[in-house]
Amino acid sequence: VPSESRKPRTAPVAFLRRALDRLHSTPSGHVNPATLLAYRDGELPEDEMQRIGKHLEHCAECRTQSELERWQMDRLAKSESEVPAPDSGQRRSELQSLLRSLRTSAPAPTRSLLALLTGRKAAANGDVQPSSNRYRKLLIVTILVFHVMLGFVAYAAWRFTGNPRWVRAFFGSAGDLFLMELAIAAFYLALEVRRGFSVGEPLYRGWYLITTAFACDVLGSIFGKLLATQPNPLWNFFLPEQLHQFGLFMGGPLEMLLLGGGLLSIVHAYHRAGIITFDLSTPELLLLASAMAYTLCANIQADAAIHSGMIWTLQDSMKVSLDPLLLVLLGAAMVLRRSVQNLGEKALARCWSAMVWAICLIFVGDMIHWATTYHLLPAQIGSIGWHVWFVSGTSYALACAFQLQAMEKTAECIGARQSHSAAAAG
Amino acid sequence: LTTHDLDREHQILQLYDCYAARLQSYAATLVRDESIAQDAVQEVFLRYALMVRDGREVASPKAWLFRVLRNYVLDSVKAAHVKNEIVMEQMPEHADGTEDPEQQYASAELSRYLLSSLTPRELACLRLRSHGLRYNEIATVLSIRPGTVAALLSRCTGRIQQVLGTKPAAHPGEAAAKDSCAV
Repeated sequence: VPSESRKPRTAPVAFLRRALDRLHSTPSGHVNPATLLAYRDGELPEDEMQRIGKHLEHCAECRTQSELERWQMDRLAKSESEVPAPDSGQRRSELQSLLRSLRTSAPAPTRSLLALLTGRKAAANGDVQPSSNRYRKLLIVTILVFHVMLGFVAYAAWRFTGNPRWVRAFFGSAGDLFLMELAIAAFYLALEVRRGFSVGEPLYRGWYLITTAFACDVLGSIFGKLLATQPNPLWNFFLPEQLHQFGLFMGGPLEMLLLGGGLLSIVHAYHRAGIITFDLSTPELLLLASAMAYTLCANIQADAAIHSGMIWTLQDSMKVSLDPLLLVLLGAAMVLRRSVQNLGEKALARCWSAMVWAICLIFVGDMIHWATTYHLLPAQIGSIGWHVWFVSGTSYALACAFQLQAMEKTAECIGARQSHSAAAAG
Repeated sequence: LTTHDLDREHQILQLYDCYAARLQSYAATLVRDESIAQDAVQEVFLRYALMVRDGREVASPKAWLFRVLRNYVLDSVKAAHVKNEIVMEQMPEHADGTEDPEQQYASAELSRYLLSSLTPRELACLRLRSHGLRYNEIATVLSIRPGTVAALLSRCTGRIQQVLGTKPAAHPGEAAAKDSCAV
């Protein structure tokens, strides 16, 4: 049990002294009311306490003010704290037995924590329907594998025939189509998750922002990629350049900003509930450090390239400027993952793991793109590296799928508990 | 089962003995519902137990408990569509120890009036202070700076001074309360 003693603070540096004096006193030279109150509550540093004590000995006006404040504060405090606390002996033994059960059984979050993490609807009455598509994760992964294999077939065709149009055609049509499918899947699943939270719940805002981010991703992949690719002359003809850039903006900075807002909002909600933990493991810290190192390198190099007069497209600057934001996203996702792991929520931990993977893979994709741009890697590797975007998109969709799974699990669990207690009552 | 587990449980129960009554009375000022307040206190201690399970440390358990309790109660109040933090009709009737019923009424009225004139942040600070939290603990609970706590609390007293000093006839309870103060 912590002691109530006040820690003595270090004395302020001498040159700050005058500024501090001015802060603590009114223009007429008296001690200001806030400082007087802090003095009476014993909350000032040691030397300040002595100084104001001395002043009060001489100054009748400040003494009166202090007495007045004391009376007023006591009066207010009294009217606030006079709620009788009932005997908590029974409650204490209840808590003791709960703590004991925590010791023996596997850790399980309390019901109110489940309500916070997976939505009140799921925790209240098992309202969420058991999933009609239990195989959605399998479906997403199967389509991913199919596309990646298709990509490798295109790659093999390029190597055998020596004609790079194979790969270009694949990424231009099937690849972009697949990215759009993934964006739509992630948006749909995030929408389902958001429906599980009602307005005003702590996680509602976070999932609202994440859903909006994925909606931007859908628009971005339609305008920025699908309609603007080279083997698509008809669309390219109709699509004005501004719309294309708008798509790039939607799918790039805007999506990441909204996603970052969503993740930070969820971090805030976890923090409010007291379940956040920041102790990341060493591999996670290493990962963060290497991402940071890459961000620095890429930004320095971009700066040098701009100064040396290299042609710099909007897309390039978007990529480089997004890296610091991605770093924040990565950290937030890692913290969320660690926090729910700590609570023993496996499905939720998988959700944030998938999010961590998705963001990590964006970094990897950026890194490969950067390395091939500056000829640090051969171009063939670069074309294989493009598959990273598919896996990243898949991870976003999977993250939402895992969160949905956690919500369904809560609903099932609460439903089973309710029917069990109903049977016991009957 | 290790001695470490037992130690930790013992530590949590010790914290419970220290702070449970104050936490519950604080929760009761926020929600005016004994059962919700009791549940909230239990919930907060369970969360604390989950938090420190793997040998993790919480920097200031007292501030942690008050912060999580406050957020928990406010969230559940919000969920119940009761948006006001203060429920005026259910303020404690006996604001001070005077026996005279007329004076009791007057001073309760005055407390009500005074408390209603405070902003939510000032009121929150005042409540935490009256439940025995130090300034830096209040700052942790409300996520503000310790200097702001002092300023907010002094604004509370300033508000009273304003009410009592400049508007003597603004409220029926004030004259009586002033008399009781003079006595």
